[in-house]
Amino acid sequence: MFSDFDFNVIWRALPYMLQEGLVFTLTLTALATAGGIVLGTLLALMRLSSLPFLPQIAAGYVNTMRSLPLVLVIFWFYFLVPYIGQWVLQSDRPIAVGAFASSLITFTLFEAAYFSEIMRAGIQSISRGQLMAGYALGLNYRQVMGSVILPQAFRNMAPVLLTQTIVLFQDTSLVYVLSIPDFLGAASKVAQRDGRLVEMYLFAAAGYFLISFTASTLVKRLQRRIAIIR
Amino acid sequence: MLSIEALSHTYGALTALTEIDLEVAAGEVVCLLGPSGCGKSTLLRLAAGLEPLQQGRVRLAGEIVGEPRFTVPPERRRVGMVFQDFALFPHLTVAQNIAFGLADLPKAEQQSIARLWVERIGLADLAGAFPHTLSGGQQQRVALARALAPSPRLVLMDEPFSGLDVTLRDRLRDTTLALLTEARVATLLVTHDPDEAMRMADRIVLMQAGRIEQAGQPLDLYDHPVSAFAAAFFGSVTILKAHAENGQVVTDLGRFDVPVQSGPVTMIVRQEALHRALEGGVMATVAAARSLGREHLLSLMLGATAVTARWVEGRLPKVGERIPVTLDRHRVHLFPPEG
Repeated sequence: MFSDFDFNVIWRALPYMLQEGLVFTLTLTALATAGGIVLGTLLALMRLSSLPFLPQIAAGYVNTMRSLPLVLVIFWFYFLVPYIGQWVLQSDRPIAVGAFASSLITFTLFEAAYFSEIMRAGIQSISRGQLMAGYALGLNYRQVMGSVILPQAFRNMAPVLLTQTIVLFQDTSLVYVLSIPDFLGAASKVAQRDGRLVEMYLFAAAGYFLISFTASTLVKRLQRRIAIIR
Repeated sequence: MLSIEALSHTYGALTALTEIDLEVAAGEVVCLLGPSGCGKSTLLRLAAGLEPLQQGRVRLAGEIVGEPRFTVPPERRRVGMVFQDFALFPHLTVAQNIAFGLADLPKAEQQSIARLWVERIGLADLAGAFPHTLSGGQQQRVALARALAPSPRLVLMDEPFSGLDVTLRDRLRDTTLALLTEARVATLLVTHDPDEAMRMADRIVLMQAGRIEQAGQPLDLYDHPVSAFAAAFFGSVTILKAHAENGQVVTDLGRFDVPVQSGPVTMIVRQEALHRALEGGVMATVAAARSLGREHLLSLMLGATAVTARWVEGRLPKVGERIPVTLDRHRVHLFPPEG
């Protein structure tokens, strides 16, 4: 199997793999993380709210998303978003949503459910005294959350948020089912074109491993530093 | 400044507060004193508006800020709070913590007020430090400065010294009192420590089981307690049972007039009630003796009655020794049995 292992295949595919595949994967990861954390934080605030209905709506959303397989959601959104767009915009034809936009929306909505659980734990880890101290100093809910509770919750939860981001980075490879040239998709394309499955899939695996392992090592280091401060 | 009228509060079936009336004038320090679970912290949170009011009324400077179904939110009451764990914001520096309640002012003014306060509490060098690098006493001072910086009308303090070690407490109580007096702010301070209340308060409100047991000037509460609970709460005492006949009890300690004609009475003898008699007195036998350093704790037998005495004079007596003692009758209190 390794007798005709050809490094040149990888070498030739490298520019395409990095410029197309890796850039897509990293961009998707970064944007979906940002969107997921923003949406997830809002969901966490809804879930912890004392107003009527908001906690139930947020809990319903989170539980639904967490009960569905990601591949299903990816498929579902890819084929349904154009029709939802058509219905929303009242146009004659399904609107064209690019593969990138579709997968970004999917991952943002899906990861928001997970990020919201992390942020909920983070907010609950801050003692009620902090909330009361904020109110007693003349701040309203929005200000107390924005400048007292959330900054601390983010700091406490930073390692967990980043770990979830690494999971997200690996999960983005599922856009493969949409034939999108992400890092894995690009490897697969070259592999099938050149008939070099072993080289290309090994290379893809090494790429994912290297990035994920480096990132989780850095997260561990960060965790240790935060533990000292607290 | 603060006025609480006929306030009652329950948690489900549990009654936390019953018919509380309370006034705190500007520049006055009032201590809410009582054992844990007596409702004093609940009362503080209700005054701050951190919990909705169920019954009664809270006024600040005459204006109603809390009634059932109406509440001015805590952020608009201009009330400062100091918490037991200080609740400093760990992600902000000392100066930022102090300036936190000044969000309405322009940045430059916030900074100059914060600078003024870090100097006033003697932490000018630590203005840029984060709370977790400070000692407990420094944190307490920052918490106080943070509460006072927005010039509140009322400061509420919840056991502000209980997390600190003993030697630090005395010094900080004086500093705190000086800052409160300087700010001429009304202060309501919750504590379970009678010494702290005696030291800090202009007036003490003693609470038990959700009710006000007794309110008045510190020395009044000490000298004229209205109940056995009030008498026993300030310092250690010996509690004796006696029986009254014709408005008097006769005990091994002597004869006392009591407010009941006949029946059982509770007799409270403070530890400092007994002294060595210079002449006369009655003979007491030392049953146990332990020195606490500057004073001794003796168990004295007078006839068949054991009384604990705080002995400040001379050497530590030996067990079995007989010493002449006199009784300070102002330090003995008699009450009809509770209930």
